[in-house]
Amino acid sequence: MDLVSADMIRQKLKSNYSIRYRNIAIDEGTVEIIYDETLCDVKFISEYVIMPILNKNKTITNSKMVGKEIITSASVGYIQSDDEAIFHILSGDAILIFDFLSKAIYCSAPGFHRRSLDTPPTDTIIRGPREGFNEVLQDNISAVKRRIKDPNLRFESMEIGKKSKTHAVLAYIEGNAPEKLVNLARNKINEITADYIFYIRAIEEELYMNKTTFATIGYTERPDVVASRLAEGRIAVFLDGTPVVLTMPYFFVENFHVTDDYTMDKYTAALGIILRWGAFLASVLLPGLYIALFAYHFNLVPFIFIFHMAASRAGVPFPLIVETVLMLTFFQLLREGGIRLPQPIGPTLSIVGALILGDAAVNSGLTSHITVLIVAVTSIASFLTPKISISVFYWDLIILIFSGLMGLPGFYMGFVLFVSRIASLTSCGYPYLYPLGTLKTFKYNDVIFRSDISEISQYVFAEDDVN
Amino acid sequence: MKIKMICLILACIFMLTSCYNYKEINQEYFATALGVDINENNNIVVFVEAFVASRTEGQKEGKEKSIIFKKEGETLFEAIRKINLSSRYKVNYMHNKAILISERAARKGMDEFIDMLFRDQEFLFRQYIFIYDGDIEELLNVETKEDPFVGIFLNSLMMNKSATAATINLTFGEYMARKDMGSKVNIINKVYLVQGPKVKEIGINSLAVINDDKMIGELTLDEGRAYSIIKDLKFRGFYPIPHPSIPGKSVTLEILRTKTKSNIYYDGQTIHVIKTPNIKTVFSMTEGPIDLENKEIREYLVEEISKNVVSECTKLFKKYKDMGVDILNLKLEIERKYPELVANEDFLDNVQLKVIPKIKLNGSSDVTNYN
Repeated sequence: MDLVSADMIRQKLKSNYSIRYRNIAIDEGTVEIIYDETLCDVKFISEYVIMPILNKNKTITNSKMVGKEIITSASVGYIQSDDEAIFHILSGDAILIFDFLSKAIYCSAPGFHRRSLDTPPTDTIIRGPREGFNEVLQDNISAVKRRIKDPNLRFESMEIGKKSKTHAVLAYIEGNAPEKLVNLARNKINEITADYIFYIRAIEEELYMNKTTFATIGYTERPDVVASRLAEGRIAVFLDGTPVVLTMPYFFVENFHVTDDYTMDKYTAALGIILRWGAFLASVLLPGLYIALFAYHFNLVPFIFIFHMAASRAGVPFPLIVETVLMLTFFQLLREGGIRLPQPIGPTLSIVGALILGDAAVNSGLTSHITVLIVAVTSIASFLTPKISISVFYWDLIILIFSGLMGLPGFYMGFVLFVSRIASLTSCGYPYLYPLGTLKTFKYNDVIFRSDISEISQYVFAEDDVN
Repeated sequence: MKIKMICLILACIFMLTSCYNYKEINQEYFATALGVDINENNNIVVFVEAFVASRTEGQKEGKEKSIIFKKEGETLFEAIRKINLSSRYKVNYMHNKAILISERAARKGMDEFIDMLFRDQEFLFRQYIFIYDGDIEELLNVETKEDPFVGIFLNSLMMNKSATAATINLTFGEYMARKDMGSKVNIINKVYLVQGPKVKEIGINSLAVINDDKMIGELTLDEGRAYSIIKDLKFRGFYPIPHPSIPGKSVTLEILRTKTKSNIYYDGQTIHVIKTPNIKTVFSMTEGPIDLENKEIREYLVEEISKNVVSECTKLFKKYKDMGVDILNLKLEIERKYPELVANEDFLDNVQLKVIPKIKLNGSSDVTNYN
C-alpha cells in the first residue's frame, strides 16, 4: 500500500491555485510530481527532476534508487506520510509519488523571490560590513557561517507554531555558550504553543524573564553582530521570514555600544560611549531635575537663569509639570507619526512638528522656550540609545511625577527606584546590569572605555563572573 | 509590598519636602535688593526691589521689569510681611543680592532688625550688605545703564575683582559671623548716588565703621586700603608717590597682592602687635621720565611705599584708638594668645601696633595679570 496518496494530497490542498500536479508516464508506471509554483523554481524542477526521470537509462526498482541515481537535485529525502508530503509542498519542495513504488520522495527546489542582504536601515555603521539579514533563514544562517568556520558552531533547527510550522534555528558555539543557557532557550522555545508564528517577538516574549520595557533580549539585523556575540558565548535565535535575529543574554551596558566602537580606534569609540552614557543620563534625569529645581528649589539655580525662566514662562497657563508632560507627549506623537507615515508624507510631518514644537507652541503661550529646549534635549538624547528610548520615556514620566510631588528628594527617590528596577532585571537568568556591580573586580575594559581589541576579545561568561 | 511602598512614598512626600512647596516660577516676585530705613516715628520702613516678568498679548515671551515695594511696620518682620498685602504674587527673597541699610538706621542700631534677616531661611548668606546715606527709595528707582536692577548691579560691583578701590566685600553671612567676635567692629561698604553726565551713577566711595551693630564712623577708601592691608584682605589698589627726580610730578605703583603676617607678644607692660605685610607691586605709570635701571630710584620707590603703608596703618589705628575703638579688631588676635589681657575694656591703651612692610617691586614688563 502506498504510504503517500496523491488523491489525499489533492483533497487536503484543494482550492490552492498554485499547487501544480504533473504526471509523467515512464516504462515502470506513472510518476506524479506535486509542487507549489509560487515557492518553487519551475525551471529547476524541469531540468533537474523531470528531465533525469524521462532520460533515465535504468529501470526504477525502488525509491532510494531515484534519489541516488536518477534525480540530480542536491537535496533529496523520503516521505512517510501525507502530512509530511504536504509540509514539504508548502515548504517549497517538489514531491514525487510513484504509482509503482511505496515511498514518495521530495527534492528541494526553492524558487521564491528573496531580498538581497542590504544594509539594515535601523543599524547603520560608518566603518564595517554593510551586510544585513533578509527574510530567508538560509541566507541569514549562511551569512553567519561565512564568518565563523568553527566546527563547534551549532544550528539547531526547531519548528514553532502548530499550524504555521515556522522554522526557527537556535545558534551557539558549543564550548563557548554555557550549557544551561542553551537548554533554557531550547526549552523556552519548545514551550511556545501558539498556532501561528510570524514575528520573532513571539520567541522574544517567551524568553523574557521580567515584565519590562527594557530590552533584556538583544536583537540585530547584522550578521557580524550575531557572529561576534556567538563568539562571546551567547546564543542567537533565527526565525524564518524575519531579518531580525535575537541574541541573548543582552546586558544594559550594550545599549551604549555600537558596531563602530569596534571598527574605529578606541579613542573615537570612548568618545561615542561617553556621549551615549551622558545622553542616557540626560534623557532620564533632565525633565525630573528641571521640575525639581524650577518648581521647588529656586535658590539652587543661578539668578540670571531664574529670571530668564520666569520671563519665558510669563503668561503660560499650565503648571510647569503639566507643560513639560504636554511637550514630552507632543514629541512622542511626532515620533510615532514619523514612524507610521508613508515616506513621501514624512517631510510634511517634520515641518508641522518643527513648527508645533519649535515656535507655535511658544508663541501661542502654551509653553516656554526653556521647556521646549529641555524636552528637545531629552528626546534627542534618548535617541542615542534607541533600544531603550521608550523605557527612558516611561521613566522620565515617573521621575518627573516624583519630582513634581517632592522636589529634589522626590527626584532622588525616582532615580533610586529607576536604578533598583534595572538592577532587579535579568536576561536569561543573568543580571541585566552585568558587569556593573556583579563582579568582584570591576572590569571596565568594555563598559565606559573600550580597551584594545586583543584585551576584550574573550568569552564574557566565566562561571564565577555571574552570581 | 505595594501598600508598604505607597506608604513609604506618601511619608516621604509629607516629611522630606520640608517647607518647600510646589511653586510656579512665573508666579513669584524675586527680590533683588532689600532696603531698611527707620522713619521719624521710629518705625521700620522696608523697600524691596523685585524682579517681575510680565507678558502681554502678542509678545513672544515675558518682559523683565523691576518694581519697588515700600512698607512700614513696627518691626522688620511686620513690614516685610505687609508687602504681600499689596503684591499680586509672593515676594521671594532667595535671590536677593543686596541688603541696603540707611545710615540713619545703622547709626541707631542694626540689632533691632538684623536678626530677622538672619533667622528667616529665605534670606541667604551670600547677599552683600551696604550702608546708604540717603533715600533708599530714590536709590532703588535709579535705572543704571548697566543693569535695570540696583541689587544685581551692586552684586556685580562686588564681583569686579579688578576694582582698584579698597572696598570691603562683606556678605551678610560674613557680617553675621563676625559681628560678635573680638571688639565687634566691622567695616561695610557705603553706597553713593550722584548725578552723572547723563544718568545717575551708583558706586562705593567710602566705608562705614560698625561697632556692635551701630555705625560709629566712616573711612575713606585710602583708610580702607590700610585696613585691608592690616586685616590681610584680598584687594587691588595703588599708591601715587612723588616722582623721584621731577618735582610736582608723580609715579603710580599698583598693588597686585598683599599677604600680611601677624605676630603678637607681651613684654609685661605693652602688647606689641607686629604686622608684616608682604606687598607685591608693579610700576604702573609715570608723569615724567624715570630710570628704573637705577637701583637708587627703585629703592626710593620701595621706601616711599613703605612709608605710606606704615603711616596710613598707624594713623588709622591711632585715630580710632583715641576714640576707644579697636578698628582693626586686634582684640580677637590678642585674645587667642593672651586671653587675660583683653579682659579689661581699656586693654587698647596697652596695645602698640608696629607695621614692617616688605615691598616687592616688579617692572611694568613683568606681565603677571591681564586684568
